[in-house]
Amino acid sequence: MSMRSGYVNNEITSRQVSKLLYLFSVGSAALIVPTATVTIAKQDGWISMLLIVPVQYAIVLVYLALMRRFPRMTIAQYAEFIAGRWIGKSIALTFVFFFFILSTLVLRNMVDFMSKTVLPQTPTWFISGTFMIVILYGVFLGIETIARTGEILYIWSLFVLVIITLSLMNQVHLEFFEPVLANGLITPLKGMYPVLGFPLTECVFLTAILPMVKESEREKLNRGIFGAVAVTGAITTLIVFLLIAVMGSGETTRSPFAVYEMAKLINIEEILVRVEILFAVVWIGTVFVKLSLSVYVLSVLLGQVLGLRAYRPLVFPLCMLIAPLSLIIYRNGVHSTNFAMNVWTVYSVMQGLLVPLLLLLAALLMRKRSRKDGRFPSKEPNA
Amino acid sequence: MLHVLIIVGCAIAVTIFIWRRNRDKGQIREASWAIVILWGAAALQIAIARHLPVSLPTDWISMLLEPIYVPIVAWLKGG
Repeated sequence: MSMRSGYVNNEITSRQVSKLLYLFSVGSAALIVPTATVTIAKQDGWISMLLIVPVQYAIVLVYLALMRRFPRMTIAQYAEFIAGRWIGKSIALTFVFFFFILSTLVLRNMVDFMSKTVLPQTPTWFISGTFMIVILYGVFLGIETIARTGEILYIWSLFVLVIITLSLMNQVHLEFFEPVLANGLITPLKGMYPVLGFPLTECVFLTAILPMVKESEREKLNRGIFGAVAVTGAITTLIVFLLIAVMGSGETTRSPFAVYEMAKLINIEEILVRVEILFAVVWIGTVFVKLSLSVYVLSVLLGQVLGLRAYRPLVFPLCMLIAPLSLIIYRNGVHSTNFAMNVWTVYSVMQGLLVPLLLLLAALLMRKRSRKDGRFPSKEPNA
Repeated sequence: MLHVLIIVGCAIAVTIFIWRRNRDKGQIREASWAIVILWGAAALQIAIARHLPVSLPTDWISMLLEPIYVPIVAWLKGG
């Protein structure tokens, strides 16, 4: 692969977008969110995950509606187009800050997981730094490279999930689901709260990715994205269902990485044991996609806010900023749980749903639409 | 002190690299912003290495959103 291969690299297919959406949604959330949901909804946590699917459909519809009005522009560009230069730039800067914090938090989640389970004696700065080098290279090569990597990881993640599901069938205890809906629907509704922010409204990354979809692929986009939402809903429901059925709601709430703990329980006649590392490998792969997308969107949006002709010069400095900040972004485990499960949802919903919705309403009322191509040139100037 | 010297040394080297690489392509504006962000990152790394107090963005977000998330969390926990 030549060093310049990444430069002509800004078109993806609708199928790739749907796989990226799946990996982004399942990404870091698959390991952490089930614990949060089960903590609130107890044995009805799986119902919360089912109820969240239509909500995700509704959120994605907002992004698709914005894309139809501004097919070749990112949210930073049409915010400026709708609200005027300075207000638009201010709105775009809030998205830059959002993706900056999101990248930092995702990296911290990965570092926490690695240092607590797989590499307990390795310094956290080393894990963070080495992971960031891979992300830097992926983002530097461009969206097409990230999307192709996603296509490989998509198959692997489904394969490992099927293996884990089948291997745990001998440990399912259906009595752990009782009593079902003991407090009515209110408990599962409350259980939706952490999922709403992490990862549902984080999917606002789509507003920066959708302009990259090939013109010939746009008709298939709706079907692909709705398919991804359905698969994500099914997978997350299955994960929470298995967690409750195998470990029970009490045990699930006690472990920060309950899904990893569940994979440790796999034991088929003492032959198939200790397969949890398979889960860890796939999880790190999905986190790679999520972090790459976050850093990519951050670089692209910042480049557009600053009026630059290319986003690539910003990637290295941004990675240098994200890696050290991820080490101090949380003071300790309590701070992490409190922020991720209580504060983040409100922030993410405001940034990922409220602001795009307001932009859409403003565009509808002001009858604004544009077919201007706002993407960075496919080749860097003088490259 | 060694930490600071290493970080500043690396930052100077990367600054020269970014400047030369982008100057050849006529991307002066891009290089300038990249260097600004890079020195911000270097300052943060020095602050962490010297154990200086750093204001966390998570605290800013928590403080700004406190009036909204506190009642919601109270309701979730059985209020």
